[in-house]
Amino acid sequence: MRTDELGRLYMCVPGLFPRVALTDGNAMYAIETKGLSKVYKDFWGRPRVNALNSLNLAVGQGEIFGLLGPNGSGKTTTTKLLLGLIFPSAGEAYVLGKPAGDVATKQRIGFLPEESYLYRFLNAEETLDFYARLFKMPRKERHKKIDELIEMVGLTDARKRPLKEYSKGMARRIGLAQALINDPDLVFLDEPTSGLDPIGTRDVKNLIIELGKRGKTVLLCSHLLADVEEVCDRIALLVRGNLKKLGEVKELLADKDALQFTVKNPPADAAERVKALVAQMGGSLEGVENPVETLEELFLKVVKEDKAGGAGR
Amino acid sequence: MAVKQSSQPLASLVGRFAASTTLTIARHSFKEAVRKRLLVVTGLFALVLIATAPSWPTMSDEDLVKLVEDVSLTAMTFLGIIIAVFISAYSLPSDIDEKRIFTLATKPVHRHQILLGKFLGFLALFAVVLALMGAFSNVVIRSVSTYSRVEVTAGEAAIHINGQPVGAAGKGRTLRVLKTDGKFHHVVLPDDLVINEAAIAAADVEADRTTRQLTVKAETARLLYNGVCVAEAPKGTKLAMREKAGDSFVVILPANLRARKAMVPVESTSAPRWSVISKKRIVESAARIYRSRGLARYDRKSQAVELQIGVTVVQGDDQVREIWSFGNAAADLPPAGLPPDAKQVDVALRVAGISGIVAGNAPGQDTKLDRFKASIVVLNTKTGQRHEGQIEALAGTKGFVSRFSMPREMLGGDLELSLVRITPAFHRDSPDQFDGDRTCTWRFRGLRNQRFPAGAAIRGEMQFEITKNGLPAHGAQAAEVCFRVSCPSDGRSEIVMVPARNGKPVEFAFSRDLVSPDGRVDIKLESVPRRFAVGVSAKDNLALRLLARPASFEWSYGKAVLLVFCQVMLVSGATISASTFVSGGVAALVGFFVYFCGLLAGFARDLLINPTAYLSGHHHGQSHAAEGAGASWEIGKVLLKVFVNIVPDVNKLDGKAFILKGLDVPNAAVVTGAGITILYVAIFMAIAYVIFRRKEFG
Repeated sequence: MRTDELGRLYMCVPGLFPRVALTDGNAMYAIETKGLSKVYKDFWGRPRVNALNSLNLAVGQGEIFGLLGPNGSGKTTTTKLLLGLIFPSAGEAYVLGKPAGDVATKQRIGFLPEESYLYRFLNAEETLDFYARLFKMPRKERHKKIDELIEMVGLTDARKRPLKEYSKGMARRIGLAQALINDPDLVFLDEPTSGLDPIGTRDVKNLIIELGKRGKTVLLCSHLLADVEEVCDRIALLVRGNLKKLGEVKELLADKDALQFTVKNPPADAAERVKALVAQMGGSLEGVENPVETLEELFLKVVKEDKAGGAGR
Repeated sequence: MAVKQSSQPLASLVGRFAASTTLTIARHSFKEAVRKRLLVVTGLFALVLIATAPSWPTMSDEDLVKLVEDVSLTAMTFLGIIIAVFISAYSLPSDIDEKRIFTLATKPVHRHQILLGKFLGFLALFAVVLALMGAFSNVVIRSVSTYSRVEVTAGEAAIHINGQPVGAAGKGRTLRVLKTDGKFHHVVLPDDLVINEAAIAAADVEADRTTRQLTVKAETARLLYNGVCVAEAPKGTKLAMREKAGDSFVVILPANLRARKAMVPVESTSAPRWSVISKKRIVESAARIYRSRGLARYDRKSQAVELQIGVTVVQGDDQVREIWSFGNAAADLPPAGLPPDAKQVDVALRVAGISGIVAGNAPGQDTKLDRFKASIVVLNTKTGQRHEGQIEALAGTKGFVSRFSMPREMLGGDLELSLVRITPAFHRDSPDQFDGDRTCTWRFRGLRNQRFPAGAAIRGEMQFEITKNGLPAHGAQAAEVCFRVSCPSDGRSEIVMVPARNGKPVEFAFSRDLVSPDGRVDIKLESVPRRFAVGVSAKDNLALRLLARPASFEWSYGKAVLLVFCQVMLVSGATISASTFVSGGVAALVGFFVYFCGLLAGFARDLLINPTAYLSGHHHGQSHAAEGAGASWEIGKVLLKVFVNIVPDVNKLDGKAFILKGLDVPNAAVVTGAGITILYVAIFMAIAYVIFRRKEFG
C-alpha cells in the first residue's frame, strides 16, 4: 500500500495488483479522470506505446460527450480504462463517482465495443438473455426487456437465428441491444454507426439524442465527424494520446467573425443588393450560394419516398 | 412456523445460487461447449469403440468381460482428457482474442466469477458426458457378462468330445451353455477341463530326439486322449514331445488344437439358468517369488551367447537345485557363427528375476536379499563337458546381466545350467519399508470388514508357475504344495495341502476360526515336493488371494467412473489455469503435459524407492551399477523428489486397475483421489485467479 501525490491509496506491489484508486471520485461527474495515462509495454516490460498522456476530463451527468480523434489517438484506450478492461499506468479514473472497474458500478453502465464481439453459437434472444441474467434481472422483466430491445433494433425476424449467420449491420444492432439491456445511466458507444446503413445510422443518432433527453450520459467515440457534430453536447479531441481541444460543439465550430443568412424566395437581384448593403455597413460579403442538402438528408428522403410508394401500391 | 424458519435461509441460499452470476456463466459455457463439434465427434467415437468391444476376439468369457471393461474405462479416460483439454484450453483465449470478453467483463461480473463459472460449466459437461458413457458401457458390460449356465447335479457329468466321453466334470461345477439339442448341452470347457495332452501314433510322426520335437508326416494324424480322438493334426504340424509310451508319443497339444467346446448329457445337469460372470471381490496380498525358466539366444552383434534365467535364493542353501535347460541351444547357438579363431565364447547371463525366500525370521529381524555371488556350472548334455564360471547378481533387478566366458566346445548341444555355492548377502530393512515382499508369507489384514460367503470356511485362490526339473510342469502334473495358515494373535495353525498346477488357478479353503479378532491371518508356504519349484511371474503378484463376496458391480463401476472424472477435472483445472496466460494451443499442450507428468509420477516414485531395479539395466555387464552411478544420481534424486512432490499422481486416480482385477474399488481410493483432485484444482484455480485478475484485455 502506498499513497500517491494526491494522497490517494494504491495497491502498489509492482505488477502484481492492478493500479486502482481506492477512494471515490466526485459524484457530480459521470466520468472523471485525473492525469490518466496508459503506456503499453512489451513482453519484457519495456514501454512500447504511449497511448494516453495525462488526460484530465470531467463529463457531467446527462451529457452527450464525443471523444474524437484519428485512428490510434487513444479514444478506445480511454474507454477501456474507464471500463476497467485495462489498468492505468498513472493517474486515476472515476466512473459514476466510483473508481473505474468497480463491479457494482457496472450495473449502471452499458458498453458497445468498436465491433460487436458476441457468441456466435447463440441466437439474438439467447444472447440478450445471457447478458440480462448477468444483471440479475427477474425472469418477467428480462423477457419484456428482450422483446422490447429486439423490436427497437429491428431484429424481430432474426431473433431465432444464430449470430454466426448475421451480417455486420445486424451484429451491430444486437451489440447495441446488449449495451442497453440494463437501461444504463452511462453508455459507452465506440463507433456505434460503423457497419450500419444510413437508416440505421439515423436510428442510432436518434437513439442517442433520445437517451440524452432521458437524462442518460453518453460517451461517444467516433471519427465520423458528422455524427458527432449532430448529437454531441461537448467533445474532446485527442491526437496521439494528447487532449487537443475540449468544449461545446457549437462554440468550437462557430466563427464569431462571420454571419450566415438563409433567405427563402429571394428576389432576382438579392445578391447584388445585399452585397451593396454589406459594403455600406463596412463588411464584406464572402459568398452567396444556394443551400444544399447533405447527402444523408437526400438519401433518407429518397428511401422514405420509396417506402411510402411501396406502401401505397 | 419452525419449519418455515429453518427452510427459509436454505431456500434463499439455493435461490441466490441459482441466480448467481457464476452459475449464469457456468450455464453459458456449458451451452457453448455442447454446441462444439468436438464433443459430438469424440462422443460418437467412444460409443463406437465401446459398442464394438464385445466383438473383439478373446480367449475366454472372463477375458471378454475384462476387455470390455478395459476398453470402456480407457476410452472414457482418454476421450475425457481430450475433451477436457481442448474445451478448457480454447475457451478463455478465444473469448479474449475474439474480444467477446469486452462485453462480458463490462457487465457486473467479478473476474473470479468468469473463471469459476467457466470451470463449473465445463465440469458439468464432463460429468454429463462421463455419466452417459459410463451408463452405456455398463449396459454393454452387463450384456457380455450374462450367460446361460447349468450346474452338474449328478455325481459327475461326462464330457463328450466328438461324441465320445473323454472326461468328467465334478458335481457342483457350473458350465456355460451355448446351445442345447436333445440329450446334450453344448458347453464351454473351463480352463482346467480343457484337454492339453494327447497321444499320437509313432508311425505318424518323425521324432527329433535332441529337440524332443515331433513333426507329423502322415496326411492327418489322430490325437487320442483316453482312446478318443480329440483332435486331428495335419501334415507338417510340429508337436512338443512329453514322453514315449509304447508305440505312441504323449505330446502337448498346441492351443489351436485344444477343444474348448464339449457336450454334457442333459440328465446329469440342472436346468439352464441365466447368470452373470461373477466379479470376484479379492482380498489382495503382495507376495512375490520368481519362477525359473531358461531362454537362450545368440546375439550376433556382441557375439555373445545370451542365456536367461530366473533365480530364487533360499537362505541356508548354497545350491540351487533347479537346473535350467536350454533345449534350443543346438538350434539357436551356432558354433559356426563364431569367429573361427575364437577359443572362448562370451556368455551373457541375463538373470530375469531374483528373489530370496527368507525362512525362519524372528520378528523385527526382517531381512531382504541384497545380492548374491555364485558359481555357475554349465553342462553340455551331449558331450558331457563341464565348465564353471562366476556370476554375481543384484536383487530386485529385472534383466540383470552377468558375464562369463567358456570354451567354445561347450556349444553344440543342450546346455544345462546350475548354480552352486551361492553366497547371498542379505541386508536389513527398516521395519516400515519391509512388506514381507520377499518372504513366502502372505499376510492379510482387515479381513473383519470383508464379506465372505456364508459357511465355516474362507475360500481362496492361488496361481503359481510350477516347474519340475527346471521345465514348466505340464497341465496334468500337480505339485502338492503345503501351506500353513496361522492366526497371528494366538499362533493356532492349520496345514492346507493344495494340488497346484502350472498356471492354473486352484481354490483352497481354511477354517474361519484362524482369522484373528483384529482380522488378520498369515499364510506361509511350508514345503514343495522334491524336484518341483514354485514361482510367480513378476507381472502378476496376485499369487494367492482370498475370495470375498462381491459388492454391486454398478456401484463399484460408478466409483471407477468417478475417478476418471477426477482425472478429467484435474486436467481441466490445469488447462484453464494455463489458458489465463498463454494461448489456447499452448494451454492444451500444458494440459497434456500435466497429465503425462502425472502418469510418470508413479514411475518416478518407484525409481526413488528402488533405484537399482531401473538403473542397473543400463550398465551392461557391470555389477556395480548402483554404486557407480554416484553424484549424478544424487542430483537426479533431488530433482526426482521435487518432481514427485509437485506433480499430481494420476495413477492414484485409477479405478480401472481394481475393476480389471475383479476388485471392488475401495472407498478409500475414491476419497484419496477426490482429495488429491480438489487440492490440485484449488491450487490451479488460485494461480489462475492471481493472473487473471490483473489481465488486461487490449
